[in-house]
Amino acid sequence: MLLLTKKYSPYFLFILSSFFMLSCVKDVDFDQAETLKIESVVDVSLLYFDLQASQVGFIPNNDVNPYSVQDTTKLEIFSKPFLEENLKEATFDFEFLNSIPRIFNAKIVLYDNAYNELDEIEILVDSPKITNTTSYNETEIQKIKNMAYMGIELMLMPGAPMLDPNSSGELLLKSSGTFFMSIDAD
Amino acid sequence: MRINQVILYLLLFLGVFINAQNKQLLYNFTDIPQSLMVNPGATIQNRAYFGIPALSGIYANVGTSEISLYDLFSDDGVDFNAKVRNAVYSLNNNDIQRVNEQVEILNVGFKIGGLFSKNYVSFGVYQELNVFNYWPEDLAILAYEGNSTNIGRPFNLSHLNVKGELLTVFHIGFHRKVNEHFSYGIRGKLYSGIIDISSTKNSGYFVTSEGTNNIYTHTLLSDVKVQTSGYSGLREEDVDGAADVLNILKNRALLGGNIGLGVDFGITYTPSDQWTHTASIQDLGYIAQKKDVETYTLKGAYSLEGINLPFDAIITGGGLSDNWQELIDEIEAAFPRDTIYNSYTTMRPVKFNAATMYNFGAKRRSNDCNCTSGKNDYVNSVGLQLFAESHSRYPQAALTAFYYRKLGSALRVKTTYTVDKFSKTNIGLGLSTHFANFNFYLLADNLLEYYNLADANNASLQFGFNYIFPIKD
Repeated sequence: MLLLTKKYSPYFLFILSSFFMLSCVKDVDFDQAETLKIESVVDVSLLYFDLQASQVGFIPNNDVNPYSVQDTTKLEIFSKPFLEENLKEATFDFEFLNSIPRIFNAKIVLYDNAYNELDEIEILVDSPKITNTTSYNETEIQKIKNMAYMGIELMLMPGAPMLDPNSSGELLLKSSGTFFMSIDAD
Repeated sequence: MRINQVILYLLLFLGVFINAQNKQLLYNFTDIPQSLMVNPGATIQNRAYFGIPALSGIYANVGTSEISLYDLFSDDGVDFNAKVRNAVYSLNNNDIQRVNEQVEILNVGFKIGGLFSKNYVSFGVYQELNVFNYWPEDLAILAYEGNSTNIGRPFNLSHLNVKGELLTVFHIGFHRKVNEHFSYGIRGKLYSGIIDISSTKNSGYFVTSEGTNNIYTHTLLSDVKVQTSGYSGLREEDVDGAADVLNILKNRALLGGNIGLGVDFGITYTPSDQWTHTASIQDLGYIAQKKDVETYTLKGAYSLEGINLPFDAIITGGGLSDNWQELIDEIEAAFPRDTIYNSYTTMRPVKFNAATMYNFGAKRRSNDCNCTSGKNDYVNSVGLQLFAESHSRYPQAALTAFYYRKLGSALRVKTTYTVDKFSKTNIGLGLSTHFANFNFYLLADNLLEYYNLADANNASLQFGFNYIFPIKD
């Protein structure tokens, strides 16, 4: 049996190899995969609040004394290594809608992990609708990559009328971030 | 990226060197003993045979619908990212990527109960790898574009639909020729599952829409399940290196894995010398996935508008709260990520074949050839074959027209033209040679694309060696 196999093996090999030789693969270059770049754009809602004039009315003498409240929240939408590698640019959009007949000054503060201030966006809310767009280009993007907390300091500016628990109106904040990614093959 | 490249090379290699789940060339090619594997009721043309161990049947098939490797990787100077972009936008969730490979380890058949008996037994072992993926259209677009340009568009999670299995099959078949016109066969199968990964019944969506309290609302409604068996054991800490993994897999291949049962049926009906009709069903069976099972689920619903700062409460003395942690806790409660260790059952992909064949041309003198049964001695046959295979969404089907010819005593040739999802230009050629009781066969389809295999949407090759004890006249 072995002899027979030997006798015919050149024949088998011929057929087999002719198939493989006739077939070919035309100029393909798999190294192209190294140049793969995905540029996705991600929109994410950030902070929002709804402040009622009636609540502000609990602040005594709010027509003469400047009064401020602040809150800070951790904000890690993407993992640090992912951002570090892939985030190219970012934009923050803030929209204040104010139906309280008073002026507010808002400061949005970006902090790193150790509460060091990275950036401050100051917005004076002196009309019923105020929008602000703050962009971080490639040279400034490190601030966003390092950001771990976002805080808002909201100051009620002295003025008239004085607000009381029966006052009507509200101050709304809506905000979102647009993150421009550039995801490479490596 | 290295690993991806290796996988791509591997896919290409398989595409070049092996054959598809639709074995249109092997079906009804009864000079080749392995045709019993696609129809246990096929006409038997020998007293006995044995496959040369590990070389009796090597089969592989790679298929991608719509896009070929060449479309992506041709060295044509076109920017690669433009080609990726084209691929992302031209593929949809009905497009398929599949790999199928089988290697026979043992295959033996013989007549039982004396020379004139009508009964025939065959048995053997083969190993099979099967990966079937529907293109996850929505998830690919979400990853590629992001949600920014897709506000209001729900991304459908049911597009995630993938199944992969690696198993060993032990089988024994019984064939009976009832009379001159009719024979039938049945093959029992014992599956030893090595690895199974299956995620085919997902639902839900992710959508970013305009919000009420904030600019956007992000909504995730998810019922996603990934079932695995034989996977968690491979990533345990004491599994050290490829040698350990191989040892574990070897053990599972030999009935140490997840056990299942299946059956094949087949018939051949020959109303006259000139007409033959055949049909078969393969792999009507299941595997009970019990050992080393892990099922991951993500089931829940949540709408997120961002982080609410409770200034009202702060002013009235409610104090600060940890907004972030509260949000995370809420989301985690809405999506209880779960790993379940319950066993589950997978159905094997069922294959159906049917064919009708007309024999014609000069009858050969029976002493010309010592390897045919002597009954059907027409040298030509033409016919039609239908193939269908069950999958999680809908069956895959193919229609084949074929011409078969006996050339001298030593050579049998079958050519096929097949139409299916992958290609409308699939021409195949099969050769079976018979010298001194040795049978060598080679079956390859998509010959038109052989000049550039990288551009083939589907290619398969099967070959093997057998030793055949011919029927004595």
